[in-house]
Amino acid sequence: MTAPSTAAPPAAHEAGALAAKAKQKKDGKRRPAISRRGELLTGYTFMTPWIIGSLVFTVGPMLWSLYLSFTDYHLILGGDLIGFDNYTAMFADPMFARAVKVTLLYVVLAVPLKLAASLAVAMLLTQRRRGIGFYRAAFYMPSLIAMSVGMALVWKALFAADGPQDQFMSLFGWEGGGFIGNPDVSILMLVLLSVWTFGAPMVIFMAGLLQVPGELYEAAEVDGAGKWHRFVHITIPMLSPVIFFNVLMETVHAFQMFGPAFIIGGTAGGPAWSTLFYTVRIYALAFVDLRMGYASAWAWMLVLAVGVVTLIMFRAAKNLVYYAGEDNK
Amino acid sequence: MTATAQAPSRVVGRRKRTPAERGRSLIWHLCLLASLVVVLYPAFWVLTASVKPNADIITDMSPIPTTVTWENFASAFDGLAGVPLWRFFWNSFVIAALSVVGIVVSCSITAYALGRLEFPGRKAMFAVVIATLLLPGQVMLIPQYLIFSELDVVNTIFPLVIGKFLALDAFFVFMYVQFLRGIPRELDQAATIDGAGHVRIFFSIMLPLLRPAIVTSSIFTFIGSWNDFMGPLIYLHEIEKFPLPRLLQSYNNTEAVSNYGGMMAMTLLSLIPVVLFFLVFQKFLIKGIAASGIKG
Amino acid sequence: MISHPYRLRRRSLLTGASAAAVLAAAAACGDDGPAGTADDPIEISFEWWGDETRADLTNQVIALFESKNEGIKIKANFADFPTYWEGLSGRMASRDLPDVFQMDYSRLRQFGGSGMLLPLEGVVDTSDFREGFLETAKLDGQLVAVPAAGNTLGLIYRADWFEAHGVAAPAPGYSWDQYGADIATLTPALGEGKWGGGDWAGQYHFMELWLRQQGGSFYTEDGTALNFTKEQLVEWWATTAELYAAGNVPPVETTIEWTEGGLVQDVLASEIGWDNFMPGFSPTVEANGGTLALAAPPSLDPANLGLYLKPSMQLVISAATEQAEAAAKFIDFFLGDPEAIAILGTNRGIPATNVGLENVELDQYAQAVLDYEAGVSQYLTTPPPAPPAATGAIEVKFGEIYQQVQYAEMTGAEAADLFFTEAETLLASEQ
Repeated sequence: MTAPSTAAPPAAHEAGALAAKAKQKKDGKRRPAISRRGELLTGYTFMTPWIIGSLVFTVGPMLWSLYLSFTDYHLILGGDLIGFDNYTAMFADPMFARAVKVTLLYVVLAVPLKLAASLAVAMLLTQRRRGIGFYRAAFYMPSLIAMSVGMALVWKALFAADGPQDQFMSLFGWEGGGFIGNPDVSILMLVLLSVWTFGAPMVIFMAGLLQVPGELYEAAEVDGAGKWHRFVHITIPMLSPVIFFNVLMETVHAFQMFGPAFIIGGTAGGPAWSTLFYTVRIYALAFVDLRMGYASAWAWMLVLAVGVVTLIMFRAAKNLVYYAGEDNK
Repeated sequence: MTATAQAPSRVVGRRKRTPAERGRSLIWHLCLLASLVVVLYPAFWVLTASVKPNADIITDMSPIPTTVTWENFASAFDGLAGVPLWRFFWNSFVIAALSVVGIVVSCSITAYALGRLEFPGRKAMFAVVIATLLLPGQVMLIPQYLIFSELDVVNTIFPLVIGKFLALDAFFVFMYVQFLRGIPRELDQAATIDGAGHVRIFFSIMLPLLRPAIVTSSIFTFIGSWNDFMGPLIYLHEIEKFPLPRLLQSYNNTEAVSNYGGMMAMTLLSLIPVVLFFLVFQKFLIKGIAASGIKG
Repeated sequence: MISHPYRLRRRSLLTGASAAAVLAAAAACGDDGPAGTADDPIEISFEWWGDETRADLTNQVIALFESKNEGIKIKANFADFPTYWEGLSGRMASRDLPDVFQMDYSRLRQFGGSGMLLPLEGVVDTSDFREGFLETAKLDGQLVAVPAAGNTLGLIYRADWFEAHGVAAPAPGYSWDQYGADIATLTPALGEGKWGGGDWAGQYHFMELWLRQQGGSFYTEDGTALNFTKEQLVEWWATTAELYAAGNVPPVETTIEWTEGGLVQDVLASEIGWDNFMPGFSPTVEANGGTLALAAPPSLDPANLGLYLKPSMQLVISAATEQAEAAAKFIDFFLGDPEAIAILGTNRGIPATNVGLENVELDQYAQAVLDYEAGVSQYLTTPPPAPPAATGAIEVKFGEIYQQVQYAEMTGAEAADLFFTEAETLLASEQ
């Protein structure tokens, strides 16, 4: 994947200047001096921590959990190979269906809402106006604290019966009480918590928006294109690599929602399993029920699901994402 | 704040300020301020809840407390079961500081190898880094737990920081690599001709140039580690070793029943370092995210 | 700035070596011997579940113990009930259990059955326990725990509200139907936001009581299967269906947010529960202007209340401990030292030892619990064998699945099917 040129960090400018000087000094020479063997040795030396770490803590554990997923491993009692039983059991498990439903619902609601909010605010914040730095900082702030346990506890209070949300919505005739006790809407609490952190993708959108050449808009304005037209035909295509990046990262993260869900809904995903997120269920299977083998199978299904979704996104991106400089569209 | 220090917008159409434009500017400010009120309401709510008497906290929607009490803070400072609050701050700080050091050291050397050197297997390794970027960590949770318990390091901070020292945080490795790729090749070539080896190039040329990436990753790591809940939940069970998220969870489950205000005061205090950190470094942070994120 | 990688490496090797030497020396010092003196004390760990009040009392007792036993230091730690067990289960795998820890009857088999607990016969002092208490500390005939306190089920009710609204005080033989009818009388009389009683159907222990009243049990004798039918479970869950539909018991939307019991919040007139909870509730209820009383729980058969004396908490020693002697000393102190007992009071329940009973300061509420237990002593029957290892998880499931019925997400029959599947899977996973 190539990327459009970005707001070059200041250091890169510095580096550029330095490099130019260096070039002047030793002009015309190619890059020969360090031998290939040198690079090999240095390369592997520098990679040693990562190689050890990956083998011991990433690749090893992955293979191990793949193996565990074919056993009935119990945390204390151990276990035996049982073939695909865990995987077939999963599809008969109503908790699996529920966890998948809750997680998908969350992904489908939270990701688009969050990205829409972040793009909208990003567009407002890339205009040249006074006080813009303050706004940027203020809108980013929730992203810092939202995923903390403290904020999850605050969220519980905000959505309690007779809490702010209940009182506010009652003004408009709402009778559903606090979201926290109402399984029909409790997932919205977590969606809102996620949307509240729109600051993070917002900053990335801002960086992208600042890269869109102003001439494009000027030309369109001369042609009499309206705001909406400019948004759809200039902003969106020019921004598509950034949109793709944000959608991908947000989706992958949304599938892995854990902390706030655990604090708000507990291991049972209360009320009535309406916040039974997939990862919360994995935790409960592993550390409450102690069924490590079955929990591993669940975890591998998540890997497969995220893998498939990522693959689909990359496929779709081939047709939908426009990279400046790749062709003259 | 860095109101005027931001890169100038290249969005078109601003020349002179006509009355119409001034009107639009006013609307723009009103729009943003209105959204800010909504966005910052929860934060304000904690602020005021922490000085409200217990009985008022949930039901009193108004952001202005009718009665102000400092008792909540007094009980928050008492911590949990005789372990004072500063102790939990210290625990959080140690984990966060070690994580930052680990990330900076390990990611910079790993990224140097992946981004600047040519050796067999490099591409495959980079592919693994990218794959782990998207890999749900839950799949490794159980074996990692079993490994750490085999190593007899459960209930220490070792499992929480070791990954940082081994460059296992794929996002930051990726970010550093992208950053290094933006640095012109001629630079190390020139140094090479001067007879510098890779170690020296790394320390005297790359590391200083990596500064923005280092600052950004440090902030992210600090905040991420400060807020991390799942790691301490699984690996720490001794109250004296708890970082703040675990304290808040325990306090909520064993004490907050009777002392909701103390809970809120504690929450507020736990958020302060993150917010302060952010206010000090926000200029770098936003720049850094922009530089790293966009290069998908 | 020229760096010398080789020199650097040698230096780090050297520091590494010296660090190892220091470590070895430190380890050698630590191996001086297990005796434990004031200068080189042995340390044992003690963990329990509970809240901060309990932590304060326990820490006082630990300080007292340390002052009386100079060579022993106690490292204390606690958590709330679910977190406590989630943590301990994980640590069981690595055999990293505390030297002494608090045990629940429902988990005794999980830990004891896999050899994690030290047999306590002859290790701790067992001469002074109140009658019947030691029975539930045995696993297949072997003593692996000692009871810290005991309890039994009862009906905790607001005597003032019962009287004010003309509902007769429940006496032994009180039937489930009568209890339901009383709740239906009380709820409308108490007015909005208050209820005559709580929904009891989601509690595994209450169903066990109900099964025992019919001569049954929750698990089979060998603990490998459920000992009732799906139909019975549907019937049990339906015992509160009418009350629930009529709004005579608080709806789940409300109770799910409760962080405190309904009695303490001044909104429930009665609740089936463990009798030793009553002293904890009483001061708050009194502050609200009410009076709590204890009666036998409702039953199906006036001659068989299904009650048994259950240890509300037990203390155990890890089989992996290296300090069994010190650990036993601490347990003996905790349960038998008059001063310690005076400090702990009835926080963990009515003491299980005679010396405990003599030295504990019983307030009127604790006295009421003792009176209640004396009053139903003729109905106490043999306790069931320690439940299967999976019972902790099954208990959680029982409540979770009943919640589906309350929210009308499932019918009783669907929920019963699900519970049986889940429970059978969990039971099978432990075999």
